[in-house]
Amino acid sequence: MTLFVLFLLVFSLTSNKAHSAIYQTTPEFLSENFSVPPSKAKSLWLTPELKKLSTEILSRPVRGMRVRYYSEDEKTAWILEEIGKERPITVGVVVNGSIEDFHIEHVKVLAFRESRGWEVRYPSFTNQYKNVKMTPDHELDQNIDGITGATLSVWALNKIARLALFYHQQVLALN
Amino acid sequence: MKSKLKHKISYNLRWHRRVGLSVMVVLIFLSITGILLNHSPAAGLSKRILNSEWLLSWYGFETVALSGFKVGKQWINHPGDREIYMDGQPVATCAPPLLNAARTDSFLIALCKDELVILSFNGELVEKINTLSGLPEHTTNVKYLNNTLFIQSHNKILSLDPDTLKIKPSQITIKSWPLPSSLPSTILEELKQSSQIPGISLETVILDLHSGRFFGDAGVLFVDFMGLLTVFLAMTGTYVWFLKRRKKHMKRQKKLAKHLKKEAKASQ
Repeated sequence: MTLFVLFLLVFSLTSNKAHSAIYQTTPEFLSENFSVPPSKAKSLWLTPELKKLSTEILSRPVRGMRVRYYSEDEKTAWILEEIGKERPITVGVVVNGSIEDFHIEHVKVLAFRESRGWEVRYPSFTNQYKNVKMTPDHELDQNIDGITGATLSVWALNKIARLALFYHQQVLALN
Repeated sequence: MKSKLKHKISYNLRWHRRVGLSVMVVLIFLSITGILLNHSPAAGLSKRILNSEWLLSWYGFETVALSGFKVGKQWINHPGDREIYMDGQPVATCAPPLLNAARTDSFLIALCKDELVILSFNGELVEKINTLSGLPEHTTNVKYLNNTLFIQSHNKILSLDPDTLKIKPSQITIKSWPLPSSLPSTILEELKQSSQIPGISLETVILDLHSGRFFGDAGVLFVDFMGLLTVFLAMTGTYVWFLKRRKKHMKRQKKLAKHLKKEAKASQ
C-alpha cells in the first residue's frame, strides 16, 4: 500500500512537470523560418480599434500597447501567448503572403507550461495550420481537428493562429 | 484529631495561596482577553488590522516589500504577490521580486524575475519581454544612462534597445545600480487599503494570546498548565472550605456536648 501511494506521488509529480518546458527559443525559431533571421524586432502598436478586434478574437481583454513581430518582405513571425487552462502557451507563428492572399506557413509551440494538453506541440497537430487563411470575420478557413484531453490547448492555438493572421493583415495594411 | 484537621487546612491553604499568587497575573490577563473576545464583534476587533513588521515576521509572513524604486516622480514596487504597482495602483503582472526599475525618455521599465515590464508614464502596460523573447537569463539590474538602457546579466553589462529588442555587450562600467528605498507613507496607505500589505486582525492576535498560541507550542502548554493550576485552586479551595466546615461542625458538637454535660450536672 505504501509503495502504491509512493508510486502515485512520484507519478503525479513527474507527470506535472514533464511537459512544462521550453522547446525552442525565439532566435532558434527565427533561424528555422527565415533565410537570414531578422536582427531587429518590429512593433505593431495596438490602437483602440485593434485592441477591440484582438479582444474579440481572444475572447478576453488584450493587455499591452504593442505586439512584437519579425518580418522579411511579406513574411511575418509572431511570438504570441495564450492561456490554455491555467498557464500561458507560447507559440511562434509565421504568416506569409500579400494583403489579398496570406496564409499560415508554420506554427510551433515554443513553450508549454500546462500539465495537460501538451500533445498540441507535435508536428502532426501543428501541421494542420499550414496554408490556413483567415475569413473576413477573422476565423480560420479550415477546420482544425481537436485532440482528446487537450481541448483547451487546441482552442488556445486556434486563437493564436487567428490573431497572428489578423496582425499580419494589419501590418501589411499599415505598410 | 483536631490538630490533624488544623494541619490539613493550613497545608492546603498554604498551597492554595502559593498557586493562587503565581497564577494571579495570568488569570487576570486571560480574563481580560476572554472578555475582549466575547465582545469582539461589538468592539470591531476583527476589522482592526495590525501590520507592524515585527508582528508579521513573528507570524512567519515573508518579509513584505515595503520598499520600491523611485523612477522620476513615480514609485514602482512589487508587494510580493502577482502584480507590480505604480504609485500604489496595480499596473501589470510579473513574478516577484522586483529587481530594479528605470525611467527612459519614453517608458518606465520594471525588471522582475526573468521578465522586463515596459510601462507608459501613465502606467499602461506597453509590453513584457521575457527570456523566451530575448531577455538574457538572470538579468539582475537595469539602468538608463546616456540615452541607453543597460542591463546586467551574469555580471556582464549589456545594452538593450527596448524598441528593437537588440541586445549588445557593452564596455561601460556601472559602479552603482538603482537601489530600492522605503515607500512614502501615502503609497503605503494606498497599498494597505487595497490589502496588498498583509495584516493580522487584532481579534486573531488576542485569540492567540488567550490560547497561548502566540508563543507557539510552549505557549499552548503554558496556558494548559495554568488551566490545571486553576482546577487545583478550585479543588484546594473547596477542600479547605469543606475542612473548615468540618472543623466548625466539630467545634459546635463539642460545645453542645459540653453544654449538655453542664445541664446534666445542674439537674443532678
